[in-house]
Amino acid sequence: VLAVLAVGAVISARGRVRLREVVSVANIAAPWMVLVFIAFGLIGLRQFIDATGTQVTGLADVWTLAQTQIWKGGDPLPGQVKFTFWHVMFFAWFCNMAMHIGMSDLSVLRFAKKSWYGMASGAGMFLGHFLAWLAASILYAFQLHQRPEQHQRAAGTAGLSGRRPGGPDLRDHRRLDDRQPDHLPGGPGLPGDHPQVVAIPRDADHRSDRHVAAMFPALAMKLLDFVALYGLILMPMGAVVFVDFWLIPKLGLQGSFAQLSRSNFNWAAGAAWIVTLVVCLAIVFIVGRWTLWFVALPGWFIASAVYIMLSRVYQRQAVPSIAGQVSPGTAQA
Amino acid sequence: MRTTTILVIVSLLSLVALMLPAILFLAGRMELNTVQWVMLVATVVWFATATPWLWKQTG
Repeated sequence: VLAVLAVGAVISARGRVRLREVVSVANIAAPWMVLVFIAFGLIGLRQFIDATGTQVTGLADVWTLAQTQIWKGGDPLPGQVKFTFWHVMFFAWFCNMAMHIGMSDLSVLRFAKKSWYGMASGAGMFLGHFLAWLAASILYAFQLHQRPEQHQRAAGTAGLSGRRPGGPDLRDHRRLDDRQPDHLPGGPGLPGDHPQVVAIPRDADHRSDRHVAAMFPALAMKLLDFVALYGLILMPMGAVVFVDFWLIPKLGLQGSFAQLSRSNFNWAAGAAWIVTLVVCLAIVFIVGRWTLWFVALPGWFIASAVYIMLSRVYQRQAVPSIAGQVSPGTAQA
Repeated sequence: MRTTTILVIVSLLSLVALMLPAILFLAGRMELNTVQWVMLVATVVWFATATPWLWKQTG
């Protein structure tokens, strides 16, 4: 808690004063952090081998160890959803949905000098949701192996079980988020190019909130639900942005219609957002909480379809003269 | 320029030193206590030597 408080205070304070410094620290820490992730996984794996007395003569033995000792499954804790492979896969895809599918990435990537900078999102997910999760799960599994009664996903507990060397625990990083543009005002690489364009006060406040949240284990324990929910909330607008830019002009409609019609609000977009959220949350409450981790996939298509249908109606009714002023496809999203 | 080159080389070597103990530990060729110390030193060296040239690139 004290570590989170100290780190959060420094980052928020300096980020508020000079964002470029925070971006530089992020860029310096990034390569080190990724290697520490991997090192923790390797160390945890060795400790598992020693603790179980496994004889490893090849990859087949490691695979057997993984299946029988590390990722062996089990009953969920009371009140928790049983996670299967599909939960993990979809959560790895959707847990930063607000950034990628919700298009928050664009807050940074719109300033990218080259299109392939967009790969940063995918690379971040691979490191954060694949390598880091593998390493973190080995540490947690080792904690359970050593102390089966210790179910808490506490950073210190898992770290001490793995006798972590060299730095902050993996889960501290996971809770403070991984490597997306919202980690630090820019994340490794990209943001440094345009630190001056990021809204500094808002970003600093945003991270302050997150650090305060990370200091409360009870809240952090609900991280999965929270992340799934907040990603879901932003997802429909990501679908609207995508459709508005790529599909709407091809359907003979106007993109950026609110801008063209000098309106402060696009009712088609607003309705698509609300309808999608209502449908998705209804599915979660009616079908079951387990759908929370999957519902965003059909939800994206629902939002897209609703936005297209409502745009067709809305654009016919609202300011008909606008449609004649600008030919389809010329609008910028 | 020459100083920067040395700093780059040393910092990259520190990343190697960060990973190598974990690999050796996995292979059963290094004690955990040694792994911890080497990784700690490698971490300090990385931040000490990478900061000047990486900071210059992004600052």
